Amino acid sequence: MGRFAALRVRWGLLALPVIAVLLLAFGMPIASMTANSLFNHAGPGRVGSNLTLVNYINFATDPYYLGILVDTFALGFVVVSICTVLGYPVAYFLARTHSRWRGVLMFLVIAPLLVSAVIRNLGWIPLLGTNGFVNWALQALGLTDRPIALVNNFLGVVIGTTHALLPFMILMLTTVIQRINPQIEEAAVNLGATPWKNFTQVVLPLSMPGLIGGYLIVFTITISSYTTPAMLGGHRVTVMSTFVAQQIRFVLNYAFGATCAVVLMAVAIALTVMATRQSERGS
Amino acid sequence: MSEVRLDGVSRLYDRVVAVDNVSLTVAEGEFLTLLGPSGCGKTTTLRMVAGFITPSGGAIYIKGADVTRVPANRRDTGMVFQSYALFPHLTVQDNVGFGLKMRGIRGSEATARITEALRLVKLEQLAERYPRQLSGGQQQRVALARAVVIRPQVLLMDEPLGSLDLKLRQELQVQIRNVQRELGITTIYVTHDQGEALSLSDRVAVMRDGRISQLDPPDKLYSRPASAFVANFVGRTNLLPVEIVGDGDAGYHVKSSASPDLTFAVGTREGDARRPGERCLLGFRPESTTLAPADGNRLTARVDDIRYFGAVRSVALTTALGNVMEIDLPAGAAAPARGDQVTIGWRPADCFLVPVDD
Repeated sequence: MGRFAALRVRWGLLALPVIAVLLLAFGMPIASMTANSLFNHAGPGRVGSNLTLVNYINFATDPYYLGILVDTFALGFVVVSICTVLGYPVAYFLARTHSRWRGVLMFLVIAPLLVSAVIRNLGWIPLLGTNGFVNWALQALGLTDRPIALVNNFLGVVIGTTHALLPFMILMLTTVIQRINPQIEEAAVNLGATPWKNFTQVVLPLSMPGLIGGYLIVFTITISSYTTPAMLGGHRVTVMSTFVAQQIRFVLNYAFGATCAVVLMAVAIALTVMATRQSERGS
Repeated sequence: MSEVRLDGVSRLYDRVVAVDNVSLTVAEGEFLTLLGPSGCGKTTTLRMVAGFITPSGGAIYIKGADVTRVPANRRDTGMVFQSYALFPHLTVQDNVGFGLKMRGIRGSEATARITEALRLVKLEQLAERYPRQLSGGQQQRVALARAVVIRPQVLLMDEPLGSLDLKLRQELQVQIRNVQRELGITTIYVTHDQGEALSLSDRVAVMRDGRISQLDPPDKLYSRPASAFVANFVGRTNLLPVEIVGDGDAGYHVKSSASPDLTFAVGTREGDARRPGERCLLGFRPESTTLAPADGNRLTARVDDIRYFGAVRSVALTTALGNVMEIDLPAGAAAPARGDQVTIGWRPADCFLVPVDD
């Protein structure tokens, strides 16, 4: 007993460097950010010394700021929904196929993760532009008479973010669907379930952990993403992260920038906790 | 009336024949087992009846209706899987009620039938539990209840006891047989366990390389196997190469191929008549062999090893002909010692002839 305990303590020591790095790299900035948000704005680039909640009150009472929060969430929900709808069939196929092309497909799925966000978005801009390939194709197919604005707006951000985060959703769902015993589906069919009933009554409920996990990852990354909204949103899309950057880098209101950042983080944490609770109750 | 009929059913996978022209008929209320080693096509055959696999050729009839192209969810079969395949997100009663729900049966009738099915497998008190809270044996009983509650035309069981330990397997065998008898439900059962096949079935189809080697009631399968494969797969068998000498009313006279002065009497005639000079194998079971017999067939042998099993002692021998054999002696009888020379014997009625080739 004593020896095992000692061993466990010694192994525990190996975690110390990581804990130290995490504290420094994550804990300190968050602590300083939170601290900044609790003091008054004392002119450009200066945080005052009066402890106050005025920043939070300003945020909570101004429809403009609340609107940015709502837009950010709307972006998150739209991206999560599209990723779920597009990702589920692919994930199901990847989980169940014995095809020799599975490896290739898997690579294609994770390919967007191998490219940096800047490069990926730079690639989208010419594709989505007024004279870009997508508009050309839509017109050639007769789906539209004139070019659609696909970039420098909300839609552009949705397309870019969905592309970037779809792999997470697919990987998450594939892992969970793979763990559903295929014979359970056969049992459902054998008992008279149509393919649709089998999906809604058996496969979908059993995929919930993957849906919740995928939702968590995609949603939290989306609402905190900066590069894609900045690059594909033009200057017309303001989400929390671009707004925070604007406050800190251009307006030089550190206190209010910090407040917005803390609000975003708090909301993300709350959603994570809720989703985790939900998935624990499910299992 | 035939409840299930397979007519020349085949299944190919990439030109490999998994099931090769299988025809069989399962009578109403009959318990038929497909028995064979892994890869013999027994599970593929069962899954074709369930509708999970489409035959490459042939036709399948249930209650006289051709169901070969009917999708699995409209076939009205109840299947029990080796992996239990219970719905992990549903309680025991909702698992059992799933098929009823799919058939639009709700309310008090559904409740009554679920209760009845759970009573049948003696699990009424666990109705509210989730599958993960049950033992393997209990889970398989739920799966059985779930399969029979819909009153399917045929019950299909794919190695249902394969992942349970021996004692539980024996208990569940009894329970499966009781449920099957009580409901009078036509059943096709797949297993590689010959003991299970013999003790449960009305008839057993031994399969090998996608074909049916022999289809007979258990006692006939055991006492009159049609081939060396069946003789070896179903129980243990001692086989001696012999040649037919004569053919009489009571059976055949044969002589040992290795030592022509040794002759034996075979008191059975199964299948086609055998001609003098024909080579075949003489088979007899370890437990129908005695030591120092007064009459009947005899053979001298040297004792190599003795293993004690409680009810019997299993004696390994090398015969005067050079064959290695095994005989069972009642544990209470006087046991020979290793190295002893003994004479073993068996009655003409307790042995059989099978072809050499296979």
